[in-house]
Amino acid sequence: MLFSNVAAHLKLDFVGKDLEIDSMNELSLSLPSQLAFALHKKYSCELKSSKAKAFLITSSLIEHLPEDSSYIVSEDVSISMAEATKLFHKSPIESNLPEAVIGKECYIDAMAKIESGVVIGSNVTIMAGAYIGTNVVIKDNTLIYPNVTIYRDTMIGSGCIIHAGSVIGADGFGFSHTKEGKHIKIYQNGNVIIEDDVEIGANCAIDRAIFNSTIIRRGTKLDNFIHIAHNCDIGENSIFVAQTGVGGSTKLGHNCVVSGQSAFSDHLSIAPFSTFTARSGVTKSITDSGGVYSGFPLMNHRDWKRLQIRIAKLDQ
Amino acid sequence: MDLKEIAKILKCDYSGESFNITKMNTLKDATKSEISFVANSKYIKEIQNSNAGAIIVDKATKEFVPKGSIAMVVENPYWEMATLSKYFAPPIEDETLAEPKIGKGSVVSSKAEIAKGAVIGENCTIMAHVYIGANAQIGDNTIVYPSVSIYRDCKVGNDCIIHANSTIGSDGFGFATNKMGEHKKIYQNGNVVIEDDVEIGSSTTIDRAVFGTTLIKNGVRIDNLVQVGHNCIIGEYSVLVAQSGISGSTTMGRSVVMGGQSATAGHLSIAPFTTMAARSGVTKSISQSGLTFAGFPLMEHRVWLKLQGKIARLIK
Repeated sequence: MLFSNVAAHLKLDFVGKDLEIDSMNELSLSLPSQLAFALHKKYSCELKSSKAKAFLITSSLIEHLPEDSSYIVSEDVSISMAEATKLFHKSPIESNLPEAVIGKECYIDAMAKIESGVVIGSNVTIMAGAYIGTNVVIKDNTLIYPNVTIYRDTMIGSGCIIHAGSVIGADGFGFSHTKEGKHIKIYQNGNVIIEDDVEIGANCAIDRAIFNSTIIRRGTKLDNFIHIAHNCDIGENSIFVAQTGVGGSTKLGHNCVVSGQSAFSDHLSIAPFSTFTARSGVTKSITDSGGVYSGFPLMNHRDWKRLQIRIAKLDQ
Repeated sequence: MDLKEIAKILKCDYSGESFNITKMNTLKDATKSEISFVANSKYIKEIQNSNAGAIIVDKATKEFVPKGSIAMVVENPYWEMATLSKYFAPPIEDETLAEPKIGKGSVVSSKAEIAKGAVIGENCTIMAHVYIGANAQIGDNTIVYPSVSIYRDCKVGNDCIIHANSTIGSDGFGFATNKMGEHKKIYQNGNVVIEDDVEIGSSTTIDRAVFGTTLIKNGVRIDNLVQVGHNCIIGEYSVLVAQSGISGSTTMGRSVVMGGQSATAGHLSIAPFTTMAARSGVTKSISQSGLTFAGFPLMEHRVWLKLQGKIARLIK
């Protein structure tokens, strides 16, 4: 898509060369063919070093643009960004893609729906009522139970098991808010990557990324009712017990253990080998590995136990 | 499976007599033709009373194996038990089973999938996209709403209602972990039994037992988004309100009420007529019946009310 088309869609003017744009991305990860955006002055450093050639920015950031940039200035970058994501949103169903390629010794139930562009490895089982969206890749020996929904562009490794009713790749929860309090959808144009030997319980929800990928790494096991928000990165061999939730863009190191009904805020970074007891509420990043935590607000498990004893004594 | 073949899988030396092992089971329930295991020295008493035909043990616990039973000595019994569980896992669907039987007056949507060996009673309604697995049984007058998945070997009684998108019989969350932090699946070869007159809300999950049965007794009412772990027993006329979670092997007496978002730890025993207020977190067994509890850590509801008063006054 031409940069001028983006500007026309936003009903804004553009400055510089009319470049061909293939997608959008955040500043630090963007490529020369992508449209990047910056909402706030604090991004001026990232803006200088960005590889993108086309930008959507506030007027105060013009002076920080790399040389030779094309740009659109918006009074409300957040809203313009949301509107622009719609241009790059791929239709859930595409008709001109090649037919699905299915490997040897697969069992695909007649009641399952496989869209075009899908690639399925060997010895894969896909049961009744499962939906495998456009361009999804599923590697060898993976087992998909009934009524699982896998949205387009998701990649699933080998030896995975996904239990009934789980939804992989639904839209991340992202909206820009107008002054009138309306919510403008930010189309979630990324995907979900599930690496090898991951098991996902029943009725889980793993949301697709806004840009790039939500990643569940090798050997991680999820119980039932696990919510993983957009752009999360869950480290290798982690354990999530039932009814836990992880906010957007949070990164967990490998071998973390998250007990039942725990939750994480967004944009956190959690050190490897961290353990969270049941009902933990994590609102800050954790840098030292190997800790055991409890409670909400979160604290060391030892402190939490002492605190509970104190609280119990309040009554006496 | 032949005991000598099992010895080969476990890579343990065994040259004695061989006989057929039909399944794996707990120390307490295993019979002469079944194999069990000990992974924790606290079960030594149970070994001595076990009727299992063979028991997987480590060197240190070998001496406690009773005379009538054969010790299979391995380095890490829990890990090897997980290895062996795969060999006892039945196929997900079995083409050799009889065509499904559907009783008089039952209506089954053409978009539902009923696997071979399944039996559906009289006057049932099975709606679109429902999956009923191999050998699963549904009693009379039961309604199963759309997109419900019922895994193989599960039993649902008479006069039950299961709302949309619920999953009955997905694998319990059980893994053996090695020193490298890798997790090996313990195949969940048991089932779920739901007795008569049970109502289950939408998007609820009830996991199948590792061995034996996860049991929901007569007259139980389960709300939406409830998680019931493997090997739980929920007593007659109990009520589980939305988003509550019951961890594995917890047993409830009759008429227990679990408020919204309340949860229990695993392996607990809850006395009959116990009431848990919303958000209760139950970590210890309750032996006295008829009491009401609240909070996390759990306390009696009247104590919790007083305590909340005290806490509210702390900021005055």
